[in-house]
Amino acid sequence: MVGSNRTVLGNGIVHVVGDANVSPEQEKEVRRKLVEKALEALKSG
Amino acid sequence: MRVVHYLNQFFGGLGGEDKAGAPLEVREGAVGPGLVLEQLLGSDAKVVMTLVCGDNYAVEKQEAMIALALEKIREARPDLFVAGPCFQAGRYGMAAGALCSTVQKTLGLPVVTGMSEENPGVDLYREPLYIIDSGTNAARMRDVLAKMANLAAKLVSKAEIGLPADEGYLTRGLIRDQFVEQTAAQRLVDMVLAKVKGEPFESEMVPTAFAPIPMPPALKDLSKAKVMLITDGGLVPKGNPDKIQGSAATRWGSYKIEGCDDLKAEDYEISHGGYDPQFVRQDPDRLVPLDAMRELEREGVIGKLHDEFISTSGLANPLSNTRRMGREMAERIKQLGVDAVILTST
Amino acid sequence: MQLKLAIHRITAIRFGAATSIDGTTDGTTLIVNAEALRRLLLEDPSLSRVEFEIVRPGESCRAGPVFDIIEPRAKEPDSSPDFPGILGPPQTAGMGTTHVLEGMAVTVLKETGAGDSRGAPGYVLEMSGGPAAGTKYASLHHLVVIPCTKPGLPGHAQQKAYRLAGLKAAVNLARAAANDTPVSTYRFESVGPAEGDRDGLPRVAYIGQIFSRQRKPELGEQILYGAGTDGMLPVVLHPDEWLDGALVPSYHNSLGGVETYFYQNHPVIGELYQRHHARELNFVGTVATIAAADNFDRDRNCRFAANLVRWSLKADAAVLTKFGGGVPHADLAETARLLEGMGIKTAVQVTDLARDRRLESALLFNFPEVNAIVCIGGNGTAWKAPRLDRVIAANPEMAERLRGPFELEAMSVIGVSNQQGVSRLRAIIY
Repeated sequence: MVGSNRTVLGNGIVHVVGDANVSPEQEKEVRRKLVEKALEALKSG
Repeated sequence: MRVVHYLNQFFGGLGGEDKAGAPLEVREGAVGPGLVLEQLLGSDAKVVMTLVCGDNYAVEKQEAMIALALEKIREARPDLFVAGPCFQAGRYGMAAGALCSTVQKTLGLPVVTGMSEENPGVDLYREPLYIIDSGTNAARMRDVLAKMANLAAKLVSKAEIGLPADEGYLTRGLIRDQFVEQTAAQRLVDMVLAKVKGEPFESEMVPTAFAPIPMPPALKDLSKAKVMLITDGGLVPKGNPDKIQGSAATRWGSYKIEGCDDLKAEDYEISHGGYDPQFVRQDPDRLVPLDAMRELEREGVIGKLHDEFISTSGLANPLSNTRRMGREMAERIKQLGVDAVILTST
Repeated sequence: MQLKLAIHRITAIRFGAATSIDGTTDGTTLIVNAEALRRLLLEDPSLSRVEFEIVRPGESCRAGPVFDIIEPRAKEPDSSPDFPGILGPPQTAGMGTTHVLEGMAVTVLKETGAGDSRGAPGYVLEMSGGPAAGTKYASLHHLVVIPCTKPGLPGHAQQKAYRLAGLKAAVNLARAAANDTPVSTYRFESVGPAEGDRDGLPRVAYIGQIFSRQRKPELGEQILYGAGTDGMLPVVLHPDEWLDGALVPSYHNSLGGVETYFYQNHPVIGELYQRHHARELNFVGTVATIAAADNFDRDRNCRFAANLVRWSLKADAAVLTKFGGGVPHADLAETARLLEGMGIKTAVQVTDLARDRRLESALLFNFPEVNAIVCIGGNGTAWKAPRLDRVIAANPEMAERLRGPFELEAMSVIGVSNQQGVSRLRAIIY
């Protein structure tokens, strides 16, 4: 059971912060969005 | 069979609460419950020494008490060490548990004790020890000692120990394998039918409830924060320098990313047997988002990205292992003055 | 749907002039024309050569790494195809008559042991000693098929060649029995949601995971009627489809604890059928599903599976089994939780994940209503595998690696910790 308080849903087990189905540029955007979401979570209390 | 027995001041005949400060005393032969124990263990058993200690002394001066007790037990060359039974007496249980677990660990002797389920000694020592369920009623002394003697005899002769319900010990919270007559399918259908009919059934496994982890405080200013990346997806430099195992890993590593804006496929490999690694192999940033973090660092969204990332492999890993690694990582991260961590998990 | 099994009991295998069945007073021998079988398998251009070995129950012999184990079965001409979707058109399996060579198996080896998460060479077939007592496979006669693929083939093509070799060999051998009188026949009683409640007996369904998306299916990997599981949603299957060739395991069998043999002789389906015939319950059907790779996928699959059981099969109760390792615990438990929420009683079968032998590490879920759990052991059992003279492997290096002595974990002995319901190794709390 996950006990972590700040969890961001990644993009699947095989590429948590990536997406093999889109172009490299789009993929980086996907990654950045996920990381930004994680940083946002770190600011929440 | 040579036996050493531990008792508190009350069962050792020193007195009640007024003698709780009494230091450890060594008596030759059996005392009080030890006489019954000796008889129950059979004709070849002899309680060669009894250690008696006041409950307060045993808890407040635990280290000194255990050190002296160990020395005396070693001298007595016993085949078995028994403590209690302690029933619901908390300090007695704590002392008996600590002593039994130390004797078992350092002298490699079979040990048995007895306590009631509510005794605080049970919480601390139920896993390493066989603790006979004594209940709270000291009038059942003989019954409890009989169970302790029975289990002790098995431990000494290295016979197979039965299940908690058969032997009368408190569940240790451990698992072992056993071949059974019925196939898993038969057991499965039996169980569902019992459940449908409202009949009792015994689940072969019970889930564990974990205490919630308190939420760490929020980051006040991201633009001043030092952020670190951690992953349990098994990303390691080529050659796996720390030999992090791909399954049930006992190790973790810390890897430099100073001056690096993008993880290159040719520099890394995956040590993780639980997911298809082809995509991360093609581009490790799909697991450790270095390129995106660097951008955010340059734009001043975060203060600094720490110049190494931590990695281990999170697959089929027992909690005892992951807890230890988590503690080690947390210690390291605190030393480094890292304010926040993004952990990517597969 | 009506499946009839025509059972031919095999008590020995030997090589001979024509593939046939030779019944004598001592038993029934399957005679294998190795040359003809080799020619058939070498029609696959991926293979450079094929070797065969015969292994007897109790023999001091070890073979590995095992790709799959298959019971020789062949359909009569007017029936559904053999392994539909793989060897024939994807028509519904489970129709007509199937000839079964009982008491034996075709065991296919692979050339390398890579891809096993436990560092072992992979599954071992152990025919004697302690491990043999824990697996049904040790009681069978085996024709071991060792397909050697041409150099330079990609991994998925190698695996496909192993799969085809095993299935073709199994069907070919069983065809030898087509004109023989079976020693017994077995007909399944009608099962299905349309069969009525039969005097208010509890309506029980089976939900089985057939794959875990911890791994992407390999290119061209065939699992259900020849289809991979990419994009697969839970699907209702008649129990006879499982038994009659609709399903084969994933290439990655070390992850699954699943073999073709126990699809054909599915222990959970067999048990439900038996109780159905004994009028203890009403076996209303099955759902095949997969464990997901992410939460959206999981939510969808679990809901679909639960809804099929609730609304299509109208079950009162369900038993669930998983495939693979830890992640599928989540899918199994979530499906059971949803079912319980609909008033459908569940029992689930899991594998024990506690390598530290602590109760707290055993399960990856904690739902109060998912409280009927069968737990397969394996993490705490190992045997000293002695050095053996007869070791069967695809190449001398692998044979040397498997020769022993070494410590053989239960999880590495094929059949011991199987997840299709045949395991008798139980995890016990103490």
